[in-house]
Amino acid sequence: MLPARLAHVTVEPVPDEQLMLRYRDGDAAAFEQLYGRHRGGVFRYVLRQVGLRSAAEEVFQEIWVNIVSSRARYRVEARFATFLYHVAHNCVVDYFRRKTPLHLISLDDDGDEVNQVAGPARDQPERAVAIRQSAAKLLNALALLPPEQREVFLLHEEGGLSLEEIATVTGTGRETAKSRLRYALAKLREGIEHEADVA
Amino acid sequence: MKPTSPEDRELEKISSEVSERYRAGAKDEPPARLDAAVLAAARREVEQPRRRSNWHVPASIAAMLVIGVSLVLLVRDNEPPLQSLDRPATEEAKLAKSAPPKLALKAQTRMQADSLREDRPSRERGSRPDREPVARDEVAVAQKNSALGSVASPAPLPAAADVAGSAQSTQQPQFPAADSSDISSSKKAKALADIAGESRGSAQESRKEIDASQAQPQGWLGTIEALLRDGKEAEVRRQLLAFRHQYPHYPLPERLQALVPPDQR
Repeated sequence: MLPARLAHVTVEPVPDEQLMLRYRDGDAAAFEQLYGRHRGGVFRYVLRQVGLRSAAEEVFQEIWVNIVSSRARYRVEARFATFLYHVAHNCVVDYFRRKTPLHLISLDDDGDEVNQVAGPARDQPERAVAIRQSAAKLLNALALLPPEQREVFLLHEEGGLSLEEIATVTGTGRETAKSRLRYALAKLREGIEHEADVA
Repeated sequence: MKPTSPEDRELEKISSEVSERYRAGAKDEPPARLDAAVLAAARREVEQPRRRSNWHVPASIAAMLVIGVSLVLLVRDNEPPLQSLDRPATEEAKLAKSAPPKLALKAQTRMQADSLREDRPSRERGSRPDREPVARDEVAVAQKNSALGSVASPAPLPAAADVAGSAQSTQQPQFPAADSSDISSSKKAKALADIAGESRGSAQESRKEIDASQAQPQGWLGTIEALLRDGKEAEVRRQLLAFRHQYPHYPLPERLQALVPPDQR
């Protein structure tokens, strides 16, 4: 759960790049704001790719340690989100280089390693169950995507990156990123509809 | 993502549908202990900034020095010694034979250039200082021959007297002035002038002998017979001794044989 202090600072309209520059100049509070804005997206980006929560936590911490360590060298050359997810992409790649084979999330298991998708408490029990089931199906379909398509979808959804930024982070061209995103969305929608038809 | 084409707009529509479902289920957050660890690390970084290591500059200078000194030593060891312009051709040839192909080619090229330079008439070449010792040596030989007398210089020396004469003019300017205040210098100058005078006189005497020696044996014998006809028997004997020294096996006329010692007839 996000601390109250972090939840408060996420509404500040100061640009990410400005916050990072302030942190570079020694303002630790600026980093707290920045971290509060991106902690969830980065964590989910990592979790959907590495699958295991414990591994996701390890990679997540590594990403932010890299960001903290590079503060003295930081220059505004792109959006901060592009810089952040570039670091995240590299850390995930390093993780898969260290850890083979790939561990996929098993959504049929309710254990600790499973994505715990919780619905809003205010919803009706039936509605909450339906949303939870639909989200689980989507996440299941997401886990079955090829890694490249899954990453592009996550960068688009969690990082809010444009096709150009996705291409920069993944080291591909814009058209390649666009093609991967189109295939990913099509397969995810198909997976949801297929599950609905089966149900 | 700004849709700029129908394809992009359709992609955006699908994306919004899927995104709504995804966001409904994706609620995963990092644990609080992870937040605390990251924020603590960020604060530590600000409060205790890493000391910038200053070893780069001295290390770079040291590396440059090591590389530079090594290069200098390497180049100095591999550099061929400087070649003198006065090196004899035999040395060049020896070097060309013993050196690696590249150096040998260089030496050959230099020898060819030297030969071409010698063949080419040059006004400057006559005044080159490295040619002067040769001329001085010739002058010295001519003077020595003149001083030794006609018997000691039987070998024909073409225009040696002229060379001696030119040697006089060459050497005279080197004499110190006679009115010099330095006594030892004036004595030395006088002695040198005497030597020059003697050599001038002996050069005139030797001119006849050299002229005779320039002639063929037959002509030389004719000159000796002329001397005999003039009654200069002593001169005839001296000329005959010189002739026999120069031409040991040339047959002498009977009238001259009587004037030669029996073992030289």
